[in-house]
Amino acid sequence: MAAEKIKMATDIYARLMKDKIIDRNESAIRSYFDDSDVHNLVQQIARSFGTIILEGHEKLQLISDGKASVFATSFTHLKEKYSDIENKKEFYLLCHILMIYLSEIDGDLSVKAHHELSGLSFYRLEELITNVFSYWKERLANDDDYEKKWAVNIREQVEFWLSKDLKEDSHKLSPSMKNKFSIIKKALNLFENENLLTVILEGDEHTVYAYPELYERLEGLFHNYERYTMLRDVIVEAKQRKGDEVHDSNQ
Amino acid sequence: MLNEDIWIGIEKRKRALNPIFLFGAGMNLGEKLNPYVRDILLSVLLEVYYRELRDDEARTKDDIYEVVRDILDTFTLEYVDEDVIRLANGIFYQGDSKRMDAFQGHYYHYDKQLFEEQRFSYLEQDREYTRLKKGTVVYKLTDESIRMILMSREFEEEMEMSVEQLYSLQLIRAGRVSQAVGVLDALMLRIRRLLAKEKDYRYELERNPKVLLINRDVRKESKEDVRNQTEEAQELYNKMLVTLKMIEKGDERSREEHLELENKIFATLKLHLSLTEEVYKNIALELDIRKNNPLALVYRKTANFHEEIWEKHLYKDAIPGEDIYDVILGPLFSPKQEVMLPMEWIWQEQELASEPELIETSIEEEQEELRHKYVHEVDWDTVVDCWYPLFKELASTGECCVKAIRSFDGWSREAIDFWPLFAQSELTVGELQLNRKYNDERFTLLQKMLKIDEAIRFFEDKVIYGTYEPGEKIVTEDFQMSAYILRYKRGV
Repeated sequence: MAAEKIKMATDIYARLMKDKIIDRNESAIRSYFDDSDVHNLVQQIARSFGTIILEGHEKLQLISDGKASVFATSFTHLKEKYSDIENKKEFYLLCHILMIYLSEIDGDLSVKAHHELSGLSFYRLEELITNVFSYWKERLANDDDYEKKWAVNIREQVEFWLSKDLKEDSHKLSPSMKNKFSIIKKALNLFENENLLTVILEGDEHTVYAYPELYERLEGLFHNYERYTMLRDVIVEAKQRKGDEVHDSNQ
Repeated sequence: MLNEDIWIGIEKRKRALNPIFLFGAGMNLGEKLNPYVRDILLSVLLEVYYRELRDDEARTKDDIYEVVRDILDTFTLEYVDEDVIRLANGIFYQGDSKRMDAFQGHYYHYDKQLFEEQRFSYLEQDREYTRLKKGTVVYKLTDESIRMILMSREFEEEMEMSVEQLYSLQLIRAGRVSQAVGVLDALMLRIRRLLAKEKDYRYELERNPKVLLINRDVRKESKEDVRNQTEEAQELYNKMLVTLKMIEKGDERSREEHLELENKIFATLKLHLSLTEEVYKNIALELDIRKNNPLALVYRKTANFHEEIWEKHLYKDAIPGEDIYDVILGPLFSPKQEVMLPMEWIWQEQELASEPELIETSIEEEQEELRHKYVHEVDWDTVVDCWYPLFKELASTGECCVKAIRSFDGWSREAIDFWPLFAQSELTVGELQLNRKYNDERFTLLQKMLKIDEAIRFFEDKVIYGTYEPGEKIVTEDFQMSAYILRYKRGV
């Protein structure tokens, strides 16, 4: 009996590993929901590889548990690729853009429903990003200590973003560091390649539409008190650490 | 002194009028087009409405640009391409289309003694037809714009569904068959919309059961509506059919009309039944949630990224540590297994079960599935360096084993990978060709070795197979694997 269940569990995990996103109703994974032993086994395998199984409303998704994962992801690939000092600032810029995008589409139910239906135009997204960078620029100008609170060189990044042109004259949109639209595209490509969203050219507007899978990941990862407190603690701790550094250097 | 009466229902009145007041407002397309903006937009809206009615999915933004163009041509108005885009955008968004803002009207709330905002659109995504993954977004009219169109229809206001059915019956009785078809068309659209709403509701209900508590009154009303209507509706459809049978058919043309109407009645009836079914399914789901999962309904303030993480900390206060990027963004990505650790090792060394033979059974299948994952660039020089001596040994002694390898320095991952690859299935070697492209990397390995030593032809017509010493393990700093042994036998 145990053998049968272990086989089922490994089969299910292997399937998740292969496809990453599986429809909840698929017969191949039925025993995951029906048999609590199998469920626990799969969870246990997932944990020991530093992965998380998200049980969304429609899909079962396998995702990496950040640093704990034994597997690489396109995010860790990118980080590696951009590991030298010169490229690092580009990497963090892409991270900031993704965070701004996520914060815009995340929120209460009505916000979500709205974006799901109408998408988010590149113009609007660019505006949101520029607003954030302008705010940071203002903070930099008014508060001498502000820059020191950052783990990355935010001053340089703010200047970099704000100095870029909006877009090319044509409708062509290719990922690069050349102008604001192409940088946004480069950042979003990370999610697009994960099958989490799509950019559609409607008429003459590029619009980002997130797939339900992205909302399920957002919900599973952030709308969850346990993970929230973990994240908050990491942030607060880092703040503390940074604060101490600043304090020491001021003395 | 004002008449008190003017305030009765003023909110509702203004809310219904705003979409009309703001329709095509604030657009400037030059002297030639300005006077006709609303005629153009109304025609566009009607075209989209009829396309929806007729199940035509040509309702993407690009299709709508095309509609605008056709209508401008029909009106024989002079225009440039930019006008087309501006006109179409004017039906989608208020103000600058790049911001994708919904339309914004206001109305006076008499009890509160203040103006409130009303947001609405004329077109919205039609979830049923939109295929994001194929890159198409299809639009349909919103409740607001439907109401606008219905208002301008011959019978003033949006009717009860049963009234609409009765109206069709009347028309049939009067022999106005084609008109009855029109009314049934409209009725069908209504039912289809209700159906879509029920589906959306279920989608929301499954994702967030708390919607059950919101808009409870509205839901209750529509549920009652459908429930009361069901039996009555069946009866009315039957009456329509019976009446239709009774009236004179007359000439060929009217026979065709009769037939069309009959089909339409059947189709509407069917659709109506599926709506009823959908509503009952949702009621069952609601009951299920209330009974089996009442916790889902308790209002708990859950955290979200936007407010709790982004607004409160990162946006406001800076991002103080590099690890924060990893913990926040890292988990949004799925693991990739082709790098770092080949899956075989993981499965074989899984500590989950104490009985090794249990794992064996599962390995066989995993490996089959994972085989095609090995399509990466292989550094063949290293692999051949590692394996060539082993094959020489295999040829002379009849076996070679992992245990005999003293050091794995100089072994690449790919080279190590060939051990489980050989162990997973037998390799029947035929004639080795130097220029052929093999799909199986084990053949490629043999081929590479053949290039440096003709003696490798020894393995032609042989079967190479792997096995391992149970209970034995090779453990190094970098990996663990079973103690594989390669052997060969004569092929059949």
